[in-house]
Amino acid sequence: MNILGYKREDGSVGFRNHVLVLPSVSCANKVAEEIANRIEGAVVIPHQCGCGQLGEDREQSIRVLVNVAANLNVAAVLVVGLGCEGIPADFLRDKILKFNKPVETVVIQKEGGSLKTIEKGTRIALRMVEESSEIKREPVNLSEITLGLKCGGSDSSSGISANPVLGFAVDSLIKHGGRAVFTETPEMIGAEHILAKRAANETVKKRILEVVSRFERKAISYGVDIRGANPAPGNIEGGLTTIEEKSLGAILKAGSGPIEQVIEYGERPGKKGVIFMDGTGYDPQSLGGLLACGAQITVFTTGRGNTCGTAIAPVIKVSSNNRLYESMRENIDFNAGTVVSGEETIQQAGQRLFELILKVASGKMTKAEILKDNAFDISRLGISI
Amino acid sequence: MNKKERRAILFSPKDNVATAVSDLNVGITASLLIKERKKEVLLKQAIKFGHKFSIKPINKGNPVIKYGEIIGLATEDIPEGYHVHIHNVESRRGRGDKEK
Repeated sequence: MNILGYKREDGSVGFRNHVLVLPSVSCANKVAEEIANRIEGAVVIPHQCGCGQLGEDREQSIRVLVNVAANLNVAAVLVVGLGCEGIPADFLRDKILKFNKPVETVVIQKEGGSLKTIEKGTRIALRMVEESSEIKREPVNLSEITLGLKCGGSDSSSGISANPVLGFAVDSLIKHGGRAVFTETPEMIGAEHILAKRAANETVKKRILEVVSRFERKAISYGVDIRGANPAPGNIEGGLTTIEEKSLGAILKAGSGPIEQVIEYGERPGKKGVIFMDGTGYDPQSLGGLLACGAQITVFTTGRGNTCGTAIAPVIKVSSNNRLYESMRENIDFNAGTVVSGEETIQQAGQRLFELILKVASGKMTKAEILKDNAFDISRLGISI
Repeated sequence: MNKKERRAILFSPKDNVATAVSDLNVGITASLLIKERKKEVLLKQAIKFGHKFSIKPINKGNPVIKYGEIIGLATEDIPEGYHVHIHNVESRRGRGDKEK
């Protein structure tokens, strides 16, 4: 079975063909946004990192910024720096160059201000779009897909319909040799024993239990009940009572296949199949981490409704109940509520979702893409210095 | 019961709670299949879409079971047909408040 994608120089495949304008530091956000907004085909991901960071916190931000630029949906990168930041533009460029794509930089202090940088950067972005737009879609194998898995604004129906329906689609993708990455470590608490049984080997099993326990200990160190933050107030109103219940419903979206690898937040996986990325359940940060680990498409299930998309990769929104689908159609791409009402089985809806994923891979736009939603954030491990 | 009119879902025969899939009023009877045996639960409280109710009595301190797994412990005796939620179930995990 073939889909249409953009083949990169080394044979790897993207399903979108964006020029990324990447601020190296939050001080360069405005200039980067001005550049991207002027150029059709250019996207920008404003963020709050890039300076005043130390140790593992700085390393993590660098990893995410570099790996987001490496995402195969990105054809070329323009890094915009301020000039005095802790993660300089040229430093990022050198790391991104390893991924065999055009990378250039503009630095505000060097150019002599915002307007001069916007002008120079806009001319560079114009040329990058002109060149990358010559790359045409061609038939590629399904195994090229790295699918991000995410849920947000969950309620009790997410575990009945949207998550198991996504799980079915994930199993189909894995059968075709693809890769699916699930994350949100707090939403493994109470379900880690089930995931551990799915580990491909002892190392992965140990790692799953370790990262969940590490996350839980961190949460406990705040000295309060995790309930209220997770499950969040909306989750509770939707019928979810405890983190264990939420987790047991959440993990259904990762299908049933063996878990091949556990990766750090924003790390690029080395294996195909089902991958677990250690990370937060906070939507913009999960989406940022999934972009960095290489997801060219993400499926996002929701019971209460959610708007988050990303500029770099399409996000397919799946509603878990008919009420939500009716009330927020402008944000929802796929309704799995039919499983709750009994109109469809999990398998039927799962097959339909799988087909939609392939259509989106080949170019069909998602609601979040059309609405230009751009939720992006990087998880922090430390304080700003 | 017509599939399209179903009122509640039970995930596992081990479960002691079921999940409402429409807004259910007090006095409604929900029919559930437990290992092919039909069980009728008379609702003593209104249960909103997505919320859980007990399908058998759950004693204080005993596990609340959904998906065949423990999702928390009952903080009071819960008779059959009652709303099961944060007012009568506590989590066993992420309890920083209990570490103090």
